[in-house]
Amino acid sequence: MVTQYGFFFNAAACSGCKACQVACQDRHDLEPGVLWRRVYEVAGGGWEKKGEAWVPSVVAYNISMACNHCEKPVCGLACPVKAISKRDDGIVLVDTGACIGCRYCEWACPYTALRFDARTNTVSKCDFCYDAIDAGGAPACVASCPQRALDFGDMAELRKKYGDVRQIFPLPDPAQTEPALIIKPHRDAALAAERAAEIANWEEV
Amino acid sequence: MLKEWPLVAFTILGQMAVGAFLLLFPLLFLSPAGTAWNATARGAALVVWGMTFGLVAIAAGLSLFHLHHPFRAHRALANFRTSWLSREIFFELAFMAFVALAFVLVWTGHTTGLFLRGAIVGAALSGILFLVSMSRLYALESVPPWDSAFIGISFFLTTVILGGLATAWITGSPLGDRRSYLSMLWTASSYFIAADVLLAVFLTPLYGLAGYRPAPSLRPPARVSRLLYFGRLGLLAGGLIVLVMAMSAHDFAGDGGRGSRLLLSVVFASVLASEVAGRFLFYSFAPRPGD
Repeated sequence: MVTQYGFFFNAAACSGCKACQVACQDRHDLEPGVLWRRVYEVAGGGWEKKGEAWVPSVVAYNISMACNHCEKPVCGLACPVKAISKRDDGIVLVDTGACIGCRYCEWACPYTALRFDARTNTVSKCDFCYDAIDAGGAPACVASCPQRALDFGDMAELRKKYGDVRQIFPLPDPAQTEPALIIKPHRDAALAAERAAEIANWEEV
Repeated sequence: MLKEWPLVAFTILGQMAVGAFLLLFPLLFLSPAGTAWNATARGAALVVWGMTFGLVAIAAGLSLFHLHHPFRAHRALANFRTSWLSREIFFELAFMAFVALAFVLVWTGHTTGLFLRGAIVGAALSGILFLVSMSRLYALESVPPWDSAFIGISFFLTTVILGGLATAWITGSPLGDRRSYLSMLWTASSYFIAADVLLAVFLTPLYGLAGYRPAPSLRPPARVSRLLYFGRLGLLAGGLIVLVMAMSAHDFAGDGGRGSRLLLSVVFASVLASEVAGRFLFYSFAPRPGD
């Protein structure tokens, strides 16, 4: 029995096509601007002098990020009305019927997974496509990725398969929430901080 | 940023109310009349507690405007076990209830006995816990500009400055009698305002000399108004200068205190405007996606 579902994301394979983002929006019929899954473009660097030559020192990679269905869901702990709960299989869900729309959870989540939906006047977020999971299927984002950069499963299995890296630049310290997320880092990720990389597509995420 | 006005109003009015209540304490119990409830003490208590209750009630009412489903607001107490927001609302309501009880007891002449003491102590404790909850609520690891001592110190200073000024202003101009507790309140307020100026100069995130500097994260970058920061500093410093002037020339008026009261009104308005600007600044440090 699954005790904690989680996502695997291969940053080395992601091309930034945003098929995952679009598939998620399509499946859940989300309003424009309400993004349960987002693709951040991380970019930085420039030129550096090596000997007599100037060589490019650009870092550039993508991070596909949704709710990480954290083992310590700080959004749920902060919610005053207990509208955010965790299922036995680890999936964190928002009960929009109970949400009062205070939007405090949006501040509490370091992954900015909670998104305000003006249609319902409540917050909403990735529900791991739990109806598809319960029926034996896969989340829309995982199924749609042409690069197979996303995977999902029980965290114990994912760890065995992919290791236990849970943070790359500029994600928060995983100790804050214990995210159910495994990452295969892009080779540029280790250099991103020293080369002053930033998220380059704020308008999109 | 401006859309956070209900939270700005709620936090500032709530802090002023608690400050006014707590700072009236010594006036009632350490006055020359001792613990006796003479007419002056009774009058002061009724005025300040009435104002306190009114401020908290208005704060509670205005806070509903930041909810997108205000008719579900009663559920906000449901998660007392883990949510600082639930705790904040709980202690706010407890504070209101205790202040109302104390007011009614004094109003009806029941100034002796355990009930009044219990109500006053209950209000003081719940007021302090209300402030603690408010500070803890915003001390979020996920919002680095807020995750520092700056928040707690800033909320404390707002509480004692606005509470002190409001209490002293409402209960009478103290400048003719430097020995009185009210006079001491004005003096203390000047020190606290000076401390607030220093806090703003040194620890304000993004702008303070030793304040938090932004680091890349998944949170959208803060768009913080320079005008708001320097406007806040100017209003605070201006209020401090006028207050010091008024205190150093306490008997300048010769008009029954009207002149000094006018100056003190200017001080209060200036400091209140500064705190409001500071609070808008505070919320602009943590934009939400899509803001």
